[in-house]
Amino acid sequence: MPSARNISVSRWNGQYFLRGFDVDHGTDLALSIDGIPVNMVGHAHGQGYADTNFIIPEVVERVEIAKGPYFAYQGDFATAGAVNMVSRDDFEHSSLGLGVSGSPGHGAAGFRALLIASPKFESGLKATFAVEAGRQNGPFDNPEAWDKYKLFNKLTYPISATSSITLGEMSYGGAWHGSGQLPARAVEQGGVSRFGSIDPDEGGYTSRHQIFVQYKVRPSDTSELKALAYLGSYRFNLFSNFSLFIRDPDSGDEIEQRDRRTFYGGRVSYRIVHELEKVRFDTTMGGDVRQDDIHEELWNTVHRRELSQVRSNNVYETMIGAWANEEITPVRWLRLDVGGRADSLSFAVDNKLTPAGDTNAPSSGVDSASQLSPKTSMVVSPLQSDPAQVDLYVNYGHGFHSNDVRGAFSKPSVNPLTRAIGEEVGARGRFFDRWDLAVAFWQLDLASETVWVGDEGTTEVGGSTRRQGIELETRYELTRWLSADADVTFTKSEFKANAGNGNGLALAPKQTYSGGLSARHALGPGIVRGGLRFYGITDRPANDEGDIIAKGFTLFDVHAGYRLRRFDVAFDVENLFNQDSRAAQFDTTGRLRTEPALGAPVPLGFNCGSGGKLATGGEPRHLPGLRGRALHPAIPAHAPRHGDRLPALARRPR
Amino acid sequence: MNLYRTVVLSLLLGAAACETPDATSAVVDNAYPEATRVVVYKAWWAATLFKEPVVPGASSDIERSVPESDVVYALLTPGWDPASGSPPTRLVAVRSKDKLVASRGDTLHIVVSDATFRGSCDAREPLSQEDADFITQRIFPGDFANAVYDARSCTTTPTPDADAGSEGGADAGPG
Repeated sequence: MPSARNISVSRWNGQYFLRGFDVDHGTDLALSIDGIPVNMVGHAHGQGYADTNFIIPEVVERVEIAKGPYFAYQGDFATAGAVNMVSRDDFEHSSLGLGVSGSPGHGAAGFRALLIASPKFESGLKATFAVEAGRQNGPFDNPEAWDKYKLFNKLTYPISATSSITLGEMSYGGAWHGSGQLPARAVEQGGVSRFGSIDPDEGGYTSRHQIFVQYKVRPSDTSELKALAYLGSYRFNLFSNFSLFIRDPDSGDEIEQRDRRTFYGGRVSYRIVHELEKVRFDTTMGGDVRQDDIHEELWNTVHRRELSQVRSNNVYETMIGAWANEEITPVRWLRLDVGGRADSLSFAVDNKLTPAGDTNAPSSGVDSASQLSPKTSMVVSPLQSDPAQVDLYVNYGHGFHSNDVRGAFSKPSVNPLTRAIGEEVGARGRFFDRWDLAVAFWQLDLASETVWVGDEGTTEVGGSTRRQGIELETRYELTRWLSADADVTFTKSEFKANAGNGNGLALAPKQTYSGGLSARHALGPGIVRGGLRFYGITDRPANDEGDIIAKGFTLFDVHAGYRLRRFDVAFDVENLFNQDSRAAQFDTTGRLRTEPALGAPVPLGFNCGSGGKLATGGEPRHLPGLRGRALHPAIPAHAPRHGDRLPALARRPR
Repeated sequence: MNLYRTVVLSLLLGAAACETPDATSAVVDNAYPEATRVVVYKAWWAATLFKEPVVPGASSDIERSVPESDVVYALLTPGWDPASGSPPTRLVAVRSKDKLVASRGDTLHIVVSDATFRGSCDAREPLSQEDADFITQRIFPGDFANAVYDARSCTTTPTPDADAGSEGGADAGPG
């Protein structure tokens, strides 16, 4: 489902809504699988770009969510939070799954096939081999034709009773067409349908392959050592067109972003638990290192054919971190965590191209940056009885996200590491063994919102910000087979310095909510399951000025399934009530081809559409391009898109 | 093992059978007789630009498009040889007489000729000046930079303040 523990995921372009962030591509949310980072530093499309599409959702055993910068073992990008997916070592049995999906009245169906082989060995070796293939078209007039394959192979061998080694491999390849952003005025005036496209060449192709080896050993009953090493390669070509026909009124503003990289790294951690005078000490320490060797390019294109090159860079980044955490439990009702981490980023940029007259191109250079991030928390448990268990906690911690290091050699320059400082108080409890309730009050300061804009190859300046919010979560077991849950967040986000715009912060979510009913019950020889889920977001400012609003939405999904010993059938309907919604909205300046060209007089009665305005403001004389909402719709009504199920954090490149 | 092979084979066959192409596309067919040497220099329909010149009797590359009903706008270059390496000396703005419609999955053939397009002065079907301005100032503004197109004579003249050798010079030259 696209929401979990107050993390909401936009369905079509994978924007994550978390703690006041519209995490466009993952810059402030650290994503990983089995400890291997998903986020891509210095990505051609956006810093921290996190494409989870290479993951087969069925192989994910559990999802570990950590909100805020309070956890010493989390480094780069873990400012709003971190999500680690843990894959399964094996399955009870091998299986073959087939699914179809589609949006009635909106084009051809998609399909998905999944084969999981999990042979059993007397040696204790656990094995999983999974392959997925499929095509997805979506509801769009310009079918996505998203063809993909994925592989997941994992072997876990028990070396001894206390140690094991795991070898793993994951692969993904995909190609798709995108419908891009649509100006709201074009849709409102009937120039294009909500599921239409203005540049049908948008889309791209990508691949990711990675191998890893993991070693775990328990030297004693109270200690554990884990070590991980990984190596991956990645390719990405994305064709986009955000401004349509401003820069090049003839051929259009289509661009291609290319990213080629090899990434490798590892992490090691050691944990030991001991007691001293009845005080329990749980000590964890570790380190991680990651290297990315990147080549990235930005091109002007038409029909996916090269017109002119804008950027060409080789980038080399090394991130090294060391961390430690001491969990002290002096009495049963009190726990203290004290820890922190030190991170060092070394990087080199080799600029291969500076187009004539381009003052924004990064120069070549070598530099480094480092940060110390202290973290601490305290948990008090005043109630620990059967009918009521309550924890009260206080968190304080520093974290960071790295920036695209090309911005460090551009004007204005970007600080390679942006510090985040988080504070949080909260309570969580379980009552009568059936009701979970949690509330958190949090604050997160970000030193800067300045970013490298991959779409233009330039720097976008932004000041320091503060986000504050309240989160509520509750789950209640109505019966042994039926449960209900609801999550809601309220957030205030603003620039610390008022630039005359009321401190507005574009696209920061103000309120998100999700919840539903889940049922699971024996029926005949099998087990029937079902769920009704909703999730949504309220209106929020689309720009810093706050005069353009990104409309909110509430969507309902339903799931039903039945499982026999050898068979499982499932049916999902997304957007059950056919709500019009915009999965992604941006305040973008753009020009349709039929609109007046740059500098041309604006005709009388020219309609910018709701939410739109002239870029220059004031009396329209000449038209440098129209600003206003660009939108990307969600799927239409009654659309059983998924015989297959979406991964919890599924996304695709925009 | 036979079961494994059967399963893999079924998956591959299933994937092949599920090919679901329903993308819309469009192609420009230049229906002018070769003797006229009228080249379709550029064309625009709905969301698709045809950027490469199409000589008489030939067709453009097939380009991906969207289901739509819209007018086609084009620039013709009578007497120009794309292989010459020199830019065209004359551009004629034309538009289709009717909206052309493509449904989902169609390949729309845009047949360009005097029978289907309006605007050629040789065919004595000039555009209104308003239509011509729309084509030259919005659809293909780069080809008429610093120039004014006269719909009645199908000629382009430089604006008074335009440099003689400015961009689009060939297009801006005398018709």
